[in-house]
Amino acid sequence: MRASGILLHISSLPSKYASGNLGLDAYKFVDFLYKSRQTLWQILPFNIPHASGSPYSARSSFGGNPDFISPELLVKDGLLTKEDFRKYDGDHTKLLLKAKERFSFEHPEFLAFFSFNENWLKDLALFQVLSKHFPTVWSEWPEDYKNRNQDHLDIFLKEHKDEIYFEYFCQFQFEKQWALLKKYAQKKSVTIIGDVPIFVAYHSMEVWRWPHYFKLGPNKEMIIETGAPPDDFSHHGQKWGNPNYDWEQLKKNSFKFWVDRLNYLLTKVDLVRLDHFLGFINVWEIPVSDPDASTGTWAKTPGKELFDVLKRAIPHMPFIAEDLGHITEEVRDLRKDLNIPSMKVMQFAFGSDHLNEHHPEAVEKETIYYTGTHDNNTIVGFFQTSPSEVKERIFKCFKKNHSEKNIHQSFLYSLFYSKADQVIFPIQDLLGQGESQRMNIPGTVENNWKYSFNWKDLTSHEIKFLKYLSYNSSRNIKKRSPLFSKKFPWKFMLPGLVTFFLFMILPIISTFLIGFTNLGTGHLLSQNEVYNLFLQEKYVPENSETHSFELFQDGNSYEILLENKYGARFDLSDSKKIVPLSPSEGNSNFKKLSLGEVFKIRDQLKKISFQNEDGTSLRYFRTNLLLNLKQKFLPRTGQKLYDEKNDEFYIPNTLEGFYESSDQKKRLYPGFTVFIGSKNFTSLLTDPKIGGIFLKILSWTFIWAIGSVFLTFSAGLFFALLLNRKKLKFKAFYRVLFIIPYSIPFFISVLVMRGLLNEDFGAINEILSHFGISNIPWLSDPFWAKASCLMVNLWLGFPYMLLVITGILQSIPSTLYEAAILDGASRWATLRYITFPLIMSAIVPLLIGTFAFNLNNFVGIYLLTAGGPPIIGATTPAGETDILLSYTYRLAFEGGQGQNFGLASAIAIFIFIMICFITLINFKFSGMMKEQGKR
Amino acid sequence: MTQIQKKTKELAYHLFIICLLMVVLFPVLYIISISLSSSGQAEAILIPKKIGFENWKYILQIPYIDKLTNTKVISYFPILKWLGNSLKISFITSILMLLLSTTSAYALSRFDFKGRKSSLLTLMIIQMFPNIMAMVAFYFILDFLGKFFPFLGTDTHGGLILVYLGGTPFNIWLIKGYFDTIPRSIEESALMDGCNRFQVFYKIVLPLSTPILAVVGLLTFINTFSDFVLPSILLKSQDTLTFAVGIQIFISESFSSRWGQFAASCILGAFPISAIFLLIHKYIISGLSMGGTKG
Repeated sequence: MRASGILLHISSLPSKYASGNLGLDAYKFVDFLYKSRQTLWQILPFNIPHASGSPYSARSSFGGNPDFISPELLVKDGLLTKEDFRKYDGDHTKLLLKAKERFSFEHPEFLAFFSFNENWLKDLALFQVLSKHFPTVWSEWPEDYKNRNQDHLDIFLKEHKDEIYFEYFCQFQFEKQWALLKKYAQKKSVTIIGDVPIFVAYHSMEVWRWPHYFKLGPNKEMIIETGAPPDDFSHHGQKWGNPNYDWEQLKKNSFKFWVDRLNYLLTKVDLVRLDHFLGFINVWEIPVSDPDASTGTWAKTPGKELFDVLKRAIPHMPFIAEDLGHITEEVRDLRKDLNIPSMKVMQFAFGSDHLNEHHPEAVEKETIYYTGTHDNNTIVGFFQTSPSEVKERIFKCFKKNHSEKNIHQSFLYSLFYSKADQVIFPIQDLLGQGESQRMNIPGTVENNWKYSFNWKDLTSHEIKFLKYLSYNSSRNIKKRSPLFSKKFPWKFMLPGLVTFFLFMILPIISTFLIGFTNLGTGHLLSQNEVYNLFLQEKYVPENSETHSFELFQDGNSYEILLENKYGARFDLSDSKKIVPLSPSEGNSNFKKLSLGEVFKIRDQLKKISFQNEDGTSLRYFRTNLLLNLKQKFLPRTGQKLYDEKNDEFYIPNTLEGFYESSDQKKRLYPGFTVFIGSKNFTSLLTDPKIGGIFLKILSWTFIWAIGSVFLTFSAGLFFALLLNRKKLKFKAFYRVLFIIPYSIPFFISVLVMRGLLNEDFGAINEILSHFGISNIPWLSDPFWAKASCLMVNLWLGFPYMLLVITGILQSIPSTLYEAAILDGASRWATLRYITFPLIMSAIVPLLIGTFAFNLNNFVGIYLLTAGGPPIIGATTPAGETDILLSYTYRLAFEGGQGQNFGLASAIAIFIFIMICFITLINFKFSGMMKEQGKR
Repeated sequence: MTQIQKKTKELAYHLFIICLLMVVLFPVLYIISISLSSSGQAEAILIPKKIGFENWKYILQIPYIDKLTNTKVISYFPILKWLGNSLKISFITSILMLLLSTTSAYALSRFDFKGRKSSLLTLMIIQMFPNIMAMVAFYFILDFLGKFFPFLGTDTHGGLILVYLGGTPFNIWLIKGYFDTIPRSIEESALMDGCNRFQVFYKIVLPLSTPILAVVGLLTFINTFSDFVLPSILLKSQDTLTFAVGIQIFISESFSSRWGQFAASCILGAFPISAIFLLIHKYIISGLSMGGTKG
C-alpha cells in the first residue's frame, strides 16, 4: 500500500520538561497525523542514552528513556499532585522520585510487568545503579561487580533497594505509557516505525552481562571497535567506539541475543529500521589503539544465517534496511532475498548529472523514500548551502513545479508522487525550517538531538497541504474490506429483532406505561369499557309488572309469545339486539319449549331486550316471566352518566379513575385505568405504609445480594486454594464432585433444601436433635429464614466461584512464586501479596455480575420461603425474606389484598434502573464492550 | 520429614477434603437415599432401612402394591409427561434460539452499519429487565397471537417458546465474540469468488463455529429446562406444565407424604442436566464470566 508519514523523535515533541515525552503532546501529534491523513510515524531509538544524548548510543537496547515519562499522566494514576507541579524546579527526576514514593509495587499490573520482563529488567536496573555509584566504564568497576559475582550483586541489590526499585518504577511507567500511546496510534491507523542500531555501546548492560558475545580483550577491555572506511565524506573513515560481536558465539546460541532484542522492540513499534544494514554482511574493524579508521579491515558477518533464524522467530519480518552509502552486490542480494525494502534519500539525488538511484524518477517501488534523515540537513538548509550547479539540477528535476521560496514543498511534491511505496519526511521539511533546526550533524558532539517543534507552526494549512498531497498521490487510502458494508443488514438482523421486539421491547414499554397508571384490582378496565358496563346496568323500577311468556323453537330460530298477545321472531346469535314486539295471532308452528329448556338458554335470553309497543323494555326475569327493567344510567355527553331514579349526574374523575357523583361524595365501582403520573413512585418514598416496607425489603435485598456474594466468594476461594496444592492427587476428581451442587437445576436444589430445612420432619433438624438441639424454626422465624436463604444460596453458588478462582490461580505464572520464595517470602506472604491481589483484580467484574444476579434471584427466595414469614402489620403482601422482585411478583400476581399492577411496575422500573446502573459499571470494569479483532 | 510422616500428612489432607465433600454433597446423597427408601418417609441416615423402588414406580406411573394399605397404587401425576414437556420445550427453544441469534451475531460481527456498537450495548442492557415483571404484557401479546395462531396462545408450549426467544441478546453476544475471532480473509476471498453473503455465512462461518454453537445450544437447553418463573405464570392446565412447575406443585401440596416420590423425580430431572453441565462446565464458565451467572 502506498503510504506516507513523518520522522519525529519523541524527544522532539513540544514539552515543558527536559525532553518531549509520551504525554498529551504525543497524543496530539497522533491526532495531527490522523487529521492530515498520514499513517507512518518514524522515531529514533528510545532507550536510555549516554551523556551525549545520542539515541544511537544507549545503556541497553532494553528499557526506555525515563525522560520520556510524562509527569502529567502520572497525575491520572494518583502518583503526583498539583502541589508537586507547583514545586517543580526543572528536575524531571525529582518528580519521578516523588511519584515512586506513592507507587505500590504490589500492584498486579506491576507484578505482571516484572515477571514478563525479568530477563533484562533486573540487570538493567543493576547496571544503572552501579553506573551511578561507580561513574566509570564498567570494566573499571570493582572486580566483583565487573565480573558479576552473584553474591556481591545480591548484596548490592539489597543495599540499594530504593534506587533499584526506582529504576523498576521508571521502566514500568515507560512501558505503561508507551503501551497506551501505541494503542491510541493503532486506533488512529498510525504505524510506528522504530529503529535498532546494529551495535551496542561498550558501556552497556549487554556487554557487561554477556561479554562472551563480543570481541573483547583478555581483561574484557575493548580491543577492536567498529566504524566505516575512508570515503568522500570522511577521509580518515569513522570510529564509532562500539565493540563488534563475536558472531560465532551468537550463532552458537542460535542468535537468541538478536531474537530477544528485536522481539522486545516489536512490542513497542510496528516496523523496525535496521541501522547500518551493511554490517550484516561485513563490519569495518579497527584496533582501538589506532589513531583513525583508515587502518581497519573488513570482517565477515554471518548475516544470512542470522536472518534465517529471524525468519523463523518473526515470520512477518517487519523490517526496513538502512542501506545508505557504498552498497555491494552482496548486500543488495541479501536485502532482496529477504524482501526488505531499501532506504533512499532525495538529498543524495543531485550530486551529479548522472541519474542515481536516489533520484525521484529512478526510485524503485520497494523503497522507503526520505527527503532527508536525522543525519541530513533540512531541505531548506540543504538548498541554501548547495552550489549553483546542484540548484540547477534540482530545478531541472522539478521542472516548473517549484518555487525557491517554498523549496521544501517542491521536495515533498516529488517525494509523494514518486514510485516509492512509502515516503517519510522529517517534520522540519514540512515546516520549511532551516539548517539551525537539524537534528544531528554526524561527527560533531555539541548541540545535537535537541530539536523540538512548536505547535504554533503546525497549522490547519499544513493539514490541508498533506491531505491534498496524500489524496492526489493516492497514499494512505484505506482499503475497505468487502465484508464490512455500511448498509444495515436487514436480512440477518430481522429474525432476531422480531422476537426481541415482541418479547423484550414491547413488554418493557408496556411495563413502563403501567408504572404510571393505577392498573390493578378495581381498575382493570378502560374508561370506555367501564362506561359501557354501567350503561348495561339495569334496575327494577317500583311497581313494575311481570309479563308471562312462552318460547318456541325451530332450529336456530325462536319465537316468543307474550301474554298471548304479542310476539316476535329472533335468534339467539343477535344477542344484545333489541327485539321489537308486535301483535301476534299466536298460531305458531314452532315447537314449544319446556321451562327446563328455557332455563338452559337463560344466559343468552338475559341479554335480549324486548321492546314493548309503549316503549318499555322487557327483560328475562324467570323461566316464564319477563320484567320491565330500566337502564340504571342514561348516557350523557362527555361520557357522563345520569342516574334517573336518584336524579344524579356521575362524572368521570380521570385523575383517580372513578365515576363520581357531581358533589364528589359517591363513587361507582369498578373504577377504570388512568394515568396517575408519578404517584406510584412517590408513594414508595412517602407513604409510610408502602414506603416503610419498601425500604425494609430494599435493605434486605442488598444484605442478601452482598451476603451471597461474600459467602460464595469466601467459600469458593477456600476450596480453590485447598484443591490447588501442587502435588495433590485426584485434584480434578474432587473438583468435579465439588461443583455438583451448581450443576443441578436451580429449582430442584432449592426445593430439596426446603424439604431438608422443614421444621418438623426435615433432615437437618433431625440430625441436630441427635446433638440435643431442639427444633430450629428454619423457615418460619424471621432471623432463621434469612439465615436459611443465605446458607442455601451459599451451597448453590460457591462452586461457580471455585471454578472461576481455580481458573485464575492456574493462570498466575509460577515464576512469580519462585521469585517471591527466593526473596524469602513466607507462604502467607505470597498468598497475601501475590495470589490475593491477582485474584481480586480478575474477579471484580464477576463479583459485580453475581451481585446483580442475586439482586433479582427470584427463584432462590420464592421457592424456599415464598417470601415468608409475613411482615406483621404490612398492608401489602410482604414477607421478611422478600427481595424486591419477589415482593413485586406478589404485589402483581398474588391476590389477597387485591392485585396492584401499577405499583408493581413502578418497582420493576426501579429494579431495572438499578440493574442497568450496575451492569454499566461492570462493563467498564470488565472491558466487555471492547471488541476483539480489529479491522 | 520422614517418608511416613509425609504420607500421613498427605492422608490427613485427603481425609479433610473428603469430610468437606461429605458435608457439601450431603443433600445429594440424602435425596438418593430417600428415593430408594421403601418407607417413603424422610430419614436422616443415608442408608435406607429398606430398599425399595416404590418411589420410582410411582413417578414412572407403574402400578405397585402399597405395603401399608395393601392396595394397588398408580400415580395420577403425569411426572413423565412434565419431563417430556420440559425436554421438548428446551430442545425446540435451543434450536430456534441458535437460528435467530447466529444471524444477528453475524450481522453485528461483520457489518459496519451505523449504531452497531451502541445497539450491542442496548441489547445487553435491555435484557437485564426482570421478565417476571413483563408478565402482564406477555399475557396480552400471547392472547392476541392466539386468536390468529391457536398454537401460540397462552397456556400453550408454542407461546412459552416464543417468549423464551425474546432472550436472544446474551447468546448473540457470546456467538458474536466467537465470530470476531474467525479470520476474515477466507470470507473475503469467497465473496470475491462470487459467493453471496448468505452463502458465506452458512458455508464458511457456521461450520467454523460449531464449538460455540454447541455451547450456546446446550446452555439454552439447561437454562430453559431450569426455568421456573415463566412457565409457572404462562401455563395453567396440568398436562401442559413443565417439569419445574409440576414438581413444585406436586411437592408443595403435601411436603411430608410425597417426599420419597419427590426425591425420585428430582434425580430423574436433575441427572441429564447435571451430566450435560459437568461435561461442558469449562466452556460455560469462560462464557459466563463475561456477563453474569447461571439463570
